[in-house]
Amino acid sequence: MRDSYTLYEDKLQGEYKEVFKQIDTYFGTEKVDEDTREEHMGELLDIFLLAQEEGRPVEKITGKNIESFCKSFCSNLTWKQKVLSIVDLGKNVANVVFFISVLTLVTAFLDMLSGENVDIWELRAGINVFGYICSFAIVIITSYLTAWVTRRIMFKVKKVSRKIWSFIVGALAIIVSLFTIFIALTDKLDPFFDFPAWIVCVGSGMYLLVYRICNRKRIAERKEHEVSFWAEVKKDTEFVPNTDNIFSQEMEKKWEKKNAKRQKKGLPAFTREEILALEEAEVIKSEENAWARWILPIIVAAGFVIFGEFETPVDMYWFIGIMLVVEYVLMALLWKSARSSNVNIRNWIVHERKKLEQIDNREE
Amino acid sequence: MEDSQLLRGILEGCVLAVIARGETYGYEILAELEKSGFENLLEGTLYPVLTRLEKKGLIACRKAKSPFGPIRKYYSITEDGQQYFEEFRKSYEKINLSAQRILNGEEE
Repeated sequence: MRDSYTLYEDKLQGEYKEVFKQIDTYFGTEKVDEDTREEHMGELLDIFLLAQEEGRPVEKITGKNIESFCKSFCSNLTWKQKVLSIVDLGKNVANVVFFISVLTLVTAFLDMLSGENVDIWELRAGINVFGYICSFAIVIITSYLTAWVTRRIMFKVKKVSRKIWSFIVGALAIIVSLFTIFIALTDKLDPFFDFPAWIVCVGSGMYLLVYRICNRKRIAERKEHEVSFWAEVKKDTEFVPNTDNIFSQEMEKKWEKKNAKRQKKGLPAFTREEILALEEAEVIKSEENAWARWILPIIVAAGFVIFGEFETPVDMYWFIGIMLVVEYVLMALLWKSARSSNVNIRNWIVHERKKLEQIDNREE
Repeated sequence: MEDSQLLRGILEGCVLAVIARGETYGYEILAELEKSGFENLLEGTLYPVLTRLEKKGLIACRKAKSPFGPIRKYYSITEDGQQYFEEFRKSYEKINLSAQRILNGEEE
């Protein structure tokens, strides 16, 4: 995944975060391609983080008028960068269309191999090209319209109204997305241009090929700045002593909430020792019950064998076999995640107990 | 007349001057210019200047991860940039001398 500036936004606090988010929202309305946005906002985020580190007021970076700053900051954006964003969107659509047409052709080919009479040249992909073009146009028009309205009102409304506006935009985005998907997939739209699958495959394939050739430099730069998704998740979720990473913050939040609930009921809050003992007990219970994860797929499979209606025993064996493989892979991943979580919690418990011992020794 | 009109004329040259001293990045350029007396210069004004200089081929840019995490752009002057800067400095000195004479009422 991309080493995006959004991964580091949470390092900003207070006014720095608020102003940066405003600028980010404004920049988003310019509808430029992702690479341009990453470049501009990444550099600005770095400057904000430096300013925060040095205690330099945000005003020294942006001036008093954020709207002026945004206009100035975006003044060098070109029409080419905006066209690129539409080209990138087209690439995503071409990926979907290419995948569907290839799947149609492969299925037809397998049918031909099993003796069916299939005319590959006349076989239709079931894709209404007109529908896809309409969906594409609707997405572009809606997003530009929303961007235009957002730019006009975002500095004129109060903070609370900004949240309401964000909610409205989010809801609109969901409705428009569902509508565009419906338009693309419905067979009730006139005219219905359902070209032969091989033409759709070649057409979308050509788009993707030309895209790759014309955007070699951008694609190479993106690969340079990629990070592993799992490495990023691990960085945030692994317990590291003496750091205030997400894992430690989440543990503190969890027990703050539990203690707040207890205090509302008139019960005393858990002490630190009690919290550590309860966490340890949960980890031990999770490890003792691990065997249930391996029994569950067998119970589900047995249910299908007893109550499932299969045409032939061979169908049943294939179905149960594939189902068991998929379930055991899922269970293995779940177990790996649970085990990693238990290791983190154990490390956290050991670290916290050492801290308590040090405090006790100091008091003595 | 506002300062911004005068600033617009010389900002590119001044930014080049800072970059000519050695590879640097946006925040450092801003800090250097502020130290030299450009008090109200903002990142929003600086960024388009840097983009223009890069497009003209007067500065080169390399991207590297900053200590804070985001990608940081480091700017360095190119040969064309060096030449442009020398010409700018000569033009500026000449104009500055003439302006001083006129404004201070000096005779040649």
